[in-house]
Amino acid sequence: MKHKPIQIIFFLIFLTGLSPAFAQEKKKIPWDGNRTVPVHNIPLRDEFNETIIPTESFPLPYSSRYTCEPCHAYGRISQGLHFNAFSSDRHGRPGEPWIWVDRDTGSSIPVSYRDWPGVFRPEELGLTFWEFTLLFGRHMTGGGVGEPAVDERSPDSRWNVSGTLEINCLACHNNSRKQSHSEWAFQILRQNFRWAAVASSALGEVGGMASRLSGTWDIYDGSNPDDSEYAIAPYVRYDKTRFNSKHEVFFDINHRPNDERCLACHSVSPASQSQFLAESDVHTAAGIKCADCHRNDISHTMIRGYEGESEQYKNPSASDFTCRGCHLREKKSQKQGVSSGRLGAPYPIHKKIPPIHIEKLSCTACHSGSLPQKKLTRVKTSRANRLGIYGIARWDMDFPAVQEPVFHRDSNGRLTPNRLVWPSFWGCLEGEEISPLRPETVKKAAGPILYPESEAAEILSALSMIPNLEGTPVFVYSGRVYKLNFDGELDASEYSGEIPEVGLFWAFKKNNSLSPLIPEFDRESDALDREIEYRIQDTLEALNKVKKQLYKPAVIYGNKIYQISEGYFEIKEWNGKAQDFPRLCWLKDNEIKNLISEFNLNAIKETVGYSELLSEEQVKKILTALSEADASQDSETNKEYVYISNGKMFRINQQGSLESSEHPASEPVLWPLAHQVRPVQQSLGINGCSDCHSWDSNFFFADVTAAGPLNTKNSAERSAHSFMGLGGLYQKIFGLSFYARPFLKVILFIAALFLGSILIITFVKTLGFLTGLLEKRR
Amino acid sequence: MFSMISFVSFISVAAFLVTFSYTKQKKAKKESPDKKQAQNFSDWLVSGLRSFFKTSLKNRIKKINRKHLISELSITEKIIWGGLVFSFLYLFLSGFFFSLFSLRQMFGVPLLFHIVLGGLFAVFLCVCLFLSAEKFSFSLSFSFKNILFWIFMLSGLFLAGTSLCMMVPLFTYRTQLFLFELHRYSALTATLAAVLFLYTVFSNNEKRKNRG
Repeated sequence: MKHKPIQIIFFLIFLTGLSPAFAQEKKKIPWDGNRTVPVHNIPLRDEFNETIIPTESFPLPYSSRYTCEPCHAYGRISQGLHFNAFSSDRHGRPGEPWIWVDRDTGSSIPVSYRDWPGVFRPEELGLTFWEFTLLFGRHMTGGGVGEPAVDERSPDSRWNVSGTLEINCLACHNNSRKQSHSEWAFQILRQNFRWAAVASSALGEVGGMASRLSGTWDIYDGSNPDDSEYAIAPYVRYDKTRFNSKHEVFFDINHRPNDERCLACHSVSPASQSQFLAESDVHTAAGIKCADCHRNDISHTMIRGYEGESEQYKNPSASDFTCRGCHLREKKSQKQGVSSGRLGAPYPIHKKIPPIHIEKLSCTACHSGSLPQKKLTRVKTSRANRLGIYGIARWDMDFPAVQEPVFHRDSNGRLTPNRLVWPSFWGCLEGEEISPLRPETVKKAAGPILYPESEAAEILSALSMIPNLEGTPVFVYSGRVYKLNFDGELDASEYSGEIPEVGLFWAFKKNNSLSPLIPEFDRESDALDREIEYRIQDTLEALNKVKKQLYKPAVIYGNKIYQISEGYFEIKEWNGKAQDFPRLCWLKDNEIKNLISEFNLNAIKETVGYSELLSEEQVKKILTALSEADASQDSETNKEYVYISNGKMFRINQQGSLESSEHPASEPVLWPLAHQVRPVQQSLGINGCSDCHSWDSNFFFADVTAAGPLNTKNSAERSAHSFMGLGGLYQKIFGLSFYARPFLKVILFIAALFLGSILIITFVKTLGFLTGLLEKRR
Repeated sequence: MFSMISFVSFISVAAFLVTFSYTKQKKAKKESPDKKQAQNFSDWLVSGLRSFFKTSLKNRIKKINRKHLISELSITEKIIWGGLVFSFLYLFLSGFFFSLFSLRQMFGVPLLFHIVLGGLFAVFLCVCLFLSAEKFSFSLSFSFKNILFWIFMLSGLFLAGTSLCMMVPLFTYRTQLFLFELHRYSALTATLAAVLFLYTVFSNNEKRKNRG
């Protein structure tokens, strides 16, 4: 049979198309048994699968897909645990969700592509892959939603400018201490997705910002010839010393990643702890790496190490890497012929622990996380609180408040310590359902209500321009001093010194002492003291520069008013209420106003210097503003807006006041914790049964107060036992029974002694009797 | 495993006692086995059960009292024996209910009472032993009843001992598991011994001799 040339050409094209499939098959070469890591001298390849020549004028960033693909199956890897949140239908035990945080609106919304209880799917919030990557790419490993197919890209995205965020193999496997997680985060912020891997690995230096380029820019366009100052196209300058003459680069690869690589995204530390007091996990201290237990093959289906994982993932070997799998010789492992005690895991003796505890508690309940305190311990996690990114600006945040430990039953019915976060978001209540609002929707409706500090900050900023002011301008309100910080926000500190009894006192601070900005002076004198006159004049001129002010600045003292009129300083009689102290104010048509509105002052008083971000008054105003914005859009249905925070739902009632109530959406989101594992001496129960079983033990009766961005007295409050599904009264009585245990032990001891003695006597007597019988028979 | 063994033990003992009673009664009436033995047995069982359920608890207690002269016991003896029976009955019911009918081990209020009544049981057991040890001495008679009595006491010792050992910080997890099993099997032994003991006591047709 003869083939036409065209058929042969098509056949060759078909074979070419299949080549990756063949390549995949080729990669399934079994391990040869050698335990060394091969030297990775490999050529870098760009996203077009072309070898990178570092001396070229505009070299492209390397693509891990094409650089690593020749030996490692990128397709299989991309189905791994760190990349498959969106694509997999097996999500396993709940883990820490991503938390969409917006400080301005007091929103912290747990989101995840994984089907875990309490979290929102990104689609519910209208988050596209693009937005998700921009928000959380800082702590993502690349791949997954960061690398969407062309048909999965939303119209508003800029993937063509930024490139896709490929799996960053070096984020975990780079053994070099130059691997920089901070650099990765900066590049994500700049939308330099395709350059992030090369920048973070220090293979080259990346400049330019894709975020500043027009949406029509493409990698083919190269550098921007029209702008060398602002809209500079991203570029990479490779470190040429890293390349050999064959354009190969040595990758210092670690087959089992170093802990630092894992901890970049998985650190958890108590919020109030000093670094030098921070303990490492006992396993780390023993020289065990994260990847020693959290193993995976090329599929990157990493063992998470929780009980039940082996059944969920149909991976029997997973059960050998749980706490029990390693430390306890459980039948399951023996049956499968796998021995416990891996890496020298000691067998726990568990003296004085009744066996029921091993059955009903997870190992982590006593050995992991923070010890239960009267109040939950607030911790910071890398992903929630943006830890581990270092630069000029501070990236880490106190908000959201992640707390631990609360004990909750896992799928095996065992009490397991969990971390929790209370969601906070603005939402629209329809029936019983609440659909969350995106922060920008709230910002649009609320406007300046969200920024009470800005008015004060602007005034303080203006006052700092007063010439010859021997200190920093501040104001005192409700016993606290407020000053401007470097970020243009307010810092608050307590003040116990004496100040005039005026609501709002303007002063300047020098060497921790306050002096009035405009001191008292002889107001009856015909001629003002020159220094006073200059100070008043300078102050008023400075205030004149405050933007958006509709009123003129003035100083009222006694029955006189001092202001600048048409550029001239003038003193006039004041017909209004006389002031006992020079009062700085805004003036319009004989109406005087405080320099800072009362609403803003109250909001400042309740939020500045505290972890809370919003006051109840602000919430009320914002809810009203949302309803008004809705009404102005001639919406057919009257929607009710609510704010979820501090474990409660806040809404405006019929009387127009803010009321709080419980709602399922305000329930906390929990996920089990496993690390840090504490040493035996610090485990729960080391001091005896009363560590947990007492009238008011922290284990059962810790106060769980919902933490959130709202300064309110209506926060949800619970006792720790409510999370366990156990009765509080019973646990209290049971705890009390431990006071009687010593007596019970004595009773049992005496009883056993008595019974034993009588039985021995009887035994001896019977023996004697039987011997006698035998004698008689003889 | 324990549940299965317990279940089989209880069924076996019940079957044994029923068959034994039937045979004993036949022998007493000097009836010879015939072809309708199965029919006779079922009739006997049904009538026995009917009379058991027809008789009120009060009457039954009266009957036992009449037969065994319980009312002639001193108030202290009544308290002691009553306490022993009551505490043992509760320990048996709470312990075996969770073993046989629940997937969970004992928990909650039943556990709390199990611990409290366990202590009381130990005390009552000691007193009963103190009062009756001589009476059940093998030197007087080497009867089945005496053997059961001492088996019950020995099980009681194991029950008290294992409870105590599980409460003191001396034993490892594995040992504690063993102690727990030992506790359960001791409880089973004690129960079976108590049942057989009571049967031997109450099935005895001779009236208890008046102590006066």
